[in-house]
Amino acid sequence: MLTKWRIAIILTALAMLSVLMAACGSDTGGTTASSTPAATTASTSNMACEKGNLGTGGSTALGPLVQAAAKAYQDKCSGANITTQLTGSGAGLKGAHEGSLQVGNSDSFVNLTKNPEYKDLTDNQVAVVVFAVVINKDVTGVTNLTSAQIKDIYTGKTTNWKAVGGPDLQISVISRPDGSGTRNTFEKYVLGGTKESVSGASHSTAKTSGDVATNVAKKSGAIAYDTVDFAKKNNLTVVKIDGKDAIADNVKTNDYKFWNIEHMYTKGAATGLAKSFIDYVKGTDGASLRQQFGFLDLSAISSDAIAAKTPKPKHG
Amino acid sequence: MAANSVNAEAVKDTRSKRTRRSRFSDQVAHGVFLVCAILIVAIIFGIFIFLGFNGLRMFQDPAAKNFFTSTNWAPTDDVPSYGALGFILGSVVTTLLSTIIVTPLAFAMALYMTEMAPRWVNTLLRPVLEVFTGMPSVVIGFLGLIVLVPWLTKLAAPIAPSAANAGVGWGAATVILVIMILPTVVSVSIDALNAVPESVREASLALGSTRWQMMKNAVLPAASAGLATAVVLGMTRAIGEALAVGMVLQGDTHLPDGPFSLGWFFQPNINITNAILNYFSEASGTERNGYFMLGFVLLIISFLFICLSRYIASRSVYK
Repeated sequence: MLTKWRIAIILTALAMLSVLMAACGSDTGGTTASSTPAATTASTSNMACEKGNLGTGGSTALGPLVQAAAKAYQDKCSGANITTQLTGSGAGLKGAHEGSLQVGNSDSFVNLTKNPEYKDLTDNQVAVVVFAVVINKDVTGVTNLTSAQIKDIYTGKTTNWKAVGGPDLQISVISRPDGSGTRNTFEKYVLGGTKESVSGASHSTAKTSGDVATNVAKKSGAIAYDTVDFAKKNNLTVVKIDGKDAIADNVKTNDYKFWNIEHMYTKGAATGLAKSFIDYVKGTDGASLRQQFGFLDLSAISSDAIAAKTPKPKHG
Repeated sequence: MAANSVNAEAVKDTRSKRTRRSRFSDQVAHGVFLVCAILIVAIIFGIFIFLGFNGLRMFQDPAAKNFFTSTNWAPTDDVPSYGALGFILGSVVTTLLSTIIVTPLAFAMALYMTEMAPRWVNTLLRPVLEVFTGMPSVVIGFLGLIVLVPWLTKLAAPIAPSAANAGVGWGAATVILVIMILPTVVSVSIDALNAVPESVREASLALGSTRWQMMKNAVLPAASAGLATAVVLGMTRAIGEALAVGMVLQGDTHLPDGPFSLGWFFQPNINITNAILNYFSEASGTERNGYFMLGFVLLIISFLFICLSRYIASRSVYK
């Protein structure tokens, strides 16, 4: 008797749930089907299809592009199976070095002084990612921050928005965890090589881009950094850095400094499916996807700007 | 007479055949169960040894000496420091606090369900509770971030050192843990109370106890071993919880500045699982071994919790 009752209740609950879902689904059902990016360039390209399994992983900034490209590649080339893990740049490099991944996605160059064992990794540069400093909507009147001001905020010297032309409001500083590719880029090119050293009650850490978006939107007086694409998609307020907007024209000339080259590292030179896929991501076939996810083409950037982002080799 | 004996022989024969067959299936079952038991023990010991081996390797680095004595975790500094006391404190504080809040609530709920509630309430609430037990932690963490944190921010702003961050930290983590472990503890407590024989209740009532006296003096002590298990299951779930707690903790690697105060609960803070979640995938060398060591410490802490509960249960009046 008891169990029958229980089964009846569970079934009723499930039925109610499914009715709810059906009701909600009917509103949005029409729009979801058509949102897959159309592979319009397929007919014009002469890409070489490769078969097999390919494990890629690493950078969460490059991740969305790689995932979309993997989907498009698999649609075109049956027999190719590409997986993408979003685990962070460091984990991607480690995976490629240790062999658990065939391709390691990274926001930054391999640092051979820190990890000399990574000298077996080959760099394949695929695109340019642009980041932005974002602030909470309560911070009115701040549209521009200088590098020095941002540095003061992230080293704990400036703690109130009043000091940088904003309202009398405490700055709530949001960081990514140490080791994040986004944070590395931020420290290197915005803070000028200084490490973040803010701590205390007004400082918090967000693990993922999603957490950053939620926190910046909800926390009064918050400041954080993320990719421009993500900031746009979540309607976050982007500020200029040193008077320069986070737009392609400023990136091309390196007037806007907060950007970096995206890499897909392979152990040794890329071959087979890995090479074919990397060529797809950076080639003409991937152009519409790169644009869709807010990446710039490497070819569009001035050589001086590329050189500024490339570490100088130690010897010669 | 001859026919009779033949008949007896035949009966004996089929009987022994049947006995042999059932003895064989007995042996098979015995073997299968033994393999299962060995497998479980092997997995548990394997994890212990793997974590311990990798974790203890960090102490080859002399800089790791301060692991249990310092709160300064700075593995990437020029002079690295591996003080993990802050992480351990975070895990222990949030776990203990949430357990202290959950235990009376859970016992009260369980007592109501087993001793007082009408049958239909039981049939309605039990399935709901069981569904809750399996609630994915990422869902709870997300709800925490969207609903709990803004609410706590408003509530705790006056006593928090930073008004904007008042909603995150140990306070929010404790509330999340309470929500996560309450159904588990209630569920197991109900089973423990249901297992108390009816005769215990009848004897107590026959001696003139009121209902509350019956529960307090007869049922609860009789179920103490099961209730202790319930609390420990809750605690181990609480201390091992990473995702939901990490989403609302938002600390880096530092404990808050200054002496311990109420404000510590209402600002970004740290615990063991949050550190592993945030930094393990990017770490290498001694730092990586350090996170293994933190995992090992978690295991040891849960082990200590279990020992404690066994000890409490062993002092039960009914044995």
